[in-house]
Amino acid sequence: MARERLDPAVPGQTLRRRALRSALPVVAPLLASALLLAVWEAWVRARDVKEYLLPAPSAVLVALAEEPGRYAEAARLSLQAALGGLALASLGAFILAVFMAHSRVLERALYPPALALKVTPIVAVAPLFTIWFGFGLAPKILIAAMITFFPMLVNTVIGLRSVDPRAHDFLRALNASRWQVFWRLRVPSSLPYVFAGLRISVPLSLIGAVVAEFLSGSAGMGQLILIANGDFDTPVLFGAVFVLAAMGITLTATVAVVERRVLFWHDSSSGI
Amino acid sequence: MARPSGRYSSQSSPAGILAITSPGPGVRVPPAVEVRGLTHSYRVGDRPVTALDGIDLTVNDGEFVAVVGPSGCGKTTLLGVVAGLLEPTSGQVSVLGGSSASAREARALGLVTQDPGLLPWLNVTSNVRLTLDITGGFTGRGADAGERVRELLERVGIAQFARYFPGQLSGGMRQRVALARALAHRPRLLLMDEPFGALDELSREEMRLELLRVWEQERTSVVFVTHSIREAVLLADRVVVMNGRPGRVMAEVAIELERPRSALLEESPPYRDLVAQIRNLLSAGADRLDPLRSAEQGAHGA
Repeated sequence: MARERLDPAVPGQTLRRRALRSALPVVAPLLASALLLAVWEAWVRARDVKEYLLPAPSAVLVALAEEPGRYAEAARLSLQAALGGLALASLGAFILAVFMAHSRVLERALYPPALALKVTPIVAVAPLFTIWFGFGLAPKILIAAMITFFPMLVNTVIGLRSVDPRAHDFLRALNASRWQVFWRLRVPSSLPYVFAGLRISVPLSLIGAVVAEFLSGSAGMGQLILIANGDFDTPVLFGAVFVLAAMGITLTATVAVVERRVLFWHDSSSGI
Repeated sequence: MARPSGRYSSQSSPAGILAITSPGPGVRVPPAVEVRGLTHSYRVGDRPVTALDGIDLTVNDGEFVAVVGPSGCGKTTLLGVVAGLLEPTSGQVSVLGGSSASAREARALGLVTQDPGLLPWLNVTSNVRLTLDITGGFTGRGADAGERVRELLERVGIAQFARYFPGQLSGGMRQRVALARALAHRPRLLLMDEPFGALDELSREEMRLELLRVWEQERTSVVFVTHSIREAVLLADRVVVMNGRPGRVMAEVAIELERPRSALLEESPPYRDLVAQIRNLLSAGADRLDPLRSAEQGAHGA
């Protein structure tokens, strides 16, 4: 944003150095991943590890390249469930958080059930959801929502409470209504916390979708892993893991990019 | 600038006070602030703490009153009660002839605090515009509101930073925005709590003169809380000297220095005399409060 305009020019800094510095956030993680894969590849080759125990990264890439359509379709289905669940959880958490942030009594009343939902093992309810809602998208969305609801709720409640008391006093002195204070002060003030919740919840939502598919056997990345496991097709299994990792990183990076745009005014927006 | 002064006249104050403050025969303007026997206490754990004890304070219409006193003497609490942000434990508080709440409802208050609490996600223009949106003074007349905001930014000298965000501004700049924002809806009473307390000495000097200039144009009633004696004397028509634990009004000093005032005033003997007078009052209060303190200060050479 406009913030960069005020940065003092660093004297003596050459263009090449600047380019290097701006590329570093992208290059450094890529290098680290490449190094990790190289060590893995070398170790598997040197020790001659059996493929069904641990395939080399090159073997996983071959498996991925053999049937890209299969992974893409599974990824699409899982992504749908994950994002659907995250959206549902965020909306529900926001509505509940508004009540909880305004009343300590409601917070106390609603916190235990929210916590109970959080500690309920997905493995316990996933088969039940399948019985209730079938093998389609609905039970997967619910599982993903269940796993992401709590972090979104807690963060949104804290966020809605974290208003600057000076700004609040100023608005009160102007006789601002509760509604005005809510939309003009509380909601924007909560955004850093909501984004912190999203950073936690985005990867969780993927796990929720995959676990739901794994347990119910409905189509998606979870089912792909289930089948590969049954076939001892370890390269395909790792292929699915690679695809999920890529999805998780992409989603998290997307949240980070959106966060940086929305929270340009906040200190936290500088890192990932 | 038509002020609905008639609105408050039904609840007018005792005639004795009005006789002094009336701007002319037949025109009865209630004092901007009238506090009688105000006590405010709060609890820390089980222990009640009396922040204010029997405070009397009158701010006449259009008057600039500074409140000075040591840290923790209840200056901020006093301002909070006047603004209606805190409830008095006992005593009477009348603001613009009515209650604090009615003054707030009439959108007659403006507040500037040390940490101004600007909204960091709004640029300078939007921060000032927010006041107009909240108070509804300019609803449906967008062009007028924009004009008013520009005029205010011009007046406090930050027109060229209209599109900057608070995070990009220096402390002094932010206080300019806070001042513009507090003045946007043409409040009848401006409450300022150590507005320049967090600024470096140079910005502080500059902002004092800036406020002097702006106030001499707007002429709204002001309660200005500060711990700087020089600041109080330079700005105010009257200085209320408080001492603390519990907060009491120790003295009031009329500042009969000519306006418009400028930085040159600080070189003049009457100004220095007034500063010295208030400093003596404050240190006398501190000695009365804590007899050991003066000895201790001597020992540390402070």
